[in-house]
Amino acid sequence: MENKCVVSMEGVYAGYGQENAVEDVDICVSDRKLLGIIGPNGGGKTTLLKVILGLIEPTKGKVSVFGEAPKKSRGLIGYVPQQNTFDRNFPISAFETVLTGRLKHGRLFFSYGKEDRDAALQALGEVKMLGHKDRQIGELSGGQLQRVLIARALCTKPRMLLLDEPTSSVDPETQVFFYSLIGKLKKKISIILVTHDVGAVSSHVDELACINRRLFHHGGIEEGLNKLDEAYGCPVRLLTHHRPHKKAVAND
Amino acid sequence: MIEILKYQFVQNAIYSLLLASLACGIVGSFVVVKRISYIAGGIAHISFGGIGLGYFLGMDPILVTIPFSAGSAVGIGLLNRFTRLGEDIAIGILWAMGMAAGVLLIYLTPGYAPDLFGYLFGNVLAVPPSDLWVMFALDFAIILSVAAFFEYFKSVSFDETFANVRGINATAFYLFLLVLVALSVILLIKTIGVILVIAYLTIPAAIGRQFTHSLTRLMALSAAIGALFGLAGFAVSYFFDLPTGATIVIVMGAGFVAISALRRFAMRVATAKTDQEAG
Repeated sequence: MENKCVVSMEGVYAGYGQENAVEDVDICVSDRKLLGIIGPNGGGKTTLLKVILGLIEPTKGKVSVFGEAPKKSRGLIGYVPQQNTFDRNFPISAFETVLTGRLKHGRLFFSYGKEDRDAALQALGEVKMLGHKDRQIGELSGGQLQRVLIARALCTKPRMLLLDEPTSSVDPETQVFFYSLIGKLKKKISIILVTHDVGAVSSHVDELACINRRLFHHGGIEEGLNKLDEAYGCPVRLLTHHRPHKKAVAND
Repeated sequence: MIEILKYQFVQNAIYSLLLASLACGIVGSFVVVKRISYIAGGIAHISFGGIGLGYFLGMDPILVTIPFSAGSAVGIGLLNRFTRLGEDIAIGILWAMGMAAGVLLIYLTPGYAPDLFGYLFGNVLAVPPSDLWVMFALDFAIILSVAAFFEYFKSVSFDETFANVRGINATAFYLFLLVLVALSVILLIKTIGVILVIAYLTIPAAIGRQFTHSLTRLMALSAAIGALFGLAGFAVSYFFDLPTGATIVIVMGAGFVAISALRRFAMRVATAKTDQEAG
């Protein structure tokens, strides 16, 4: 692992078709640290995640995840997607959803063993969702579903957790729970958190990356927050219009 | 009532309906939960081109349609994934072109015109024993495929991105699923015809999903519902001398409306009751 970066990007350009959604990005994610990635909609946050997951190839630049090509290291990453990437009416229970984290590729007549079930139950316990394990996912609240998705990522036994807007459709109680869980987890694994939530980022992450196509800042939180205006090309309070009460934090 | 069961063609009709229900319960469940009924409809109609090709080449139309439909399914899936053409536009174009190709090829085939109506709307009373064997083989292939890859199909149908991240080739399983849809379509051509196939692939699973949150149970339930309504529709068509395929579809559709309405009513009564007890 070069320079102790679990994820390293050097001069990365990536996007869909001709247009680059991110340009010339250098990032180093340290082991067992919580990196917050923040930026406006369409600023390339999700593109960056997809590059790390090996779902899209960069058009230029170098990426390595745990010292390997992203596709090779996928198995080491626990991914928590946004909630709009799947159908909540799908006939699947919370427990079964978590179990899919244990699916191993390329096996005929694959079925989950006792070890897989235990891992799924343990992960559900970790997010305090054991009591809801047999409910169909559509019957869960946004916050409960979020916990299930985190459990699914955790039961892959990841060395890094990648969370895409994890608090966007979540009740305040789950938010508190979520950040305390993240705090515990980062003692063991690295975490990348993509979010809009400037307030939460400033109080929970170790490092901050601000991205709006280009990387505007990568490092400490204080300087990062000061640079947000520049990254967004407009005052930060516009960014937080969903949560006006957080304005103060962003402008601190 | 019982006497008609003595006739060979009636027995064949019943076997073919049961074989069709089995495939449709399994594949139809995926069609419904993955919301690909429009693609399934497209594959069904395109397969008419395969029937035409079979006649044109002077070969068994059903046997020619198997590779034709499977190939079209893969093609339509790839177009969906990798071109910028809107998904529905690609399907719409191929849908019509497949049908048109079928009509043209049959027109260009010298000799007597085959019973097109039978392929379009089905003719369950004219299913020969040889077709039953083909149906049996297709059922076997479908069940074996789903059993071998069930957890993959389930995971990919539910959350493709996550499956991809776990190293599972979601696109390959998506295409595989479309091929299974194509095989189910062929199973149904003789029974209810290419135009009405989509009913069998959607209605039983749409009814079933109102009663279960488990994908495996949904498959079993959909197969049972398909068989029940298929046989009921067949009986109605037999005694009232109506076209079978169309009658089955109407019976299924009416069943769907009735069951959905009843269920909603029952739920409302249940909520009213709890409200009353609470208040």
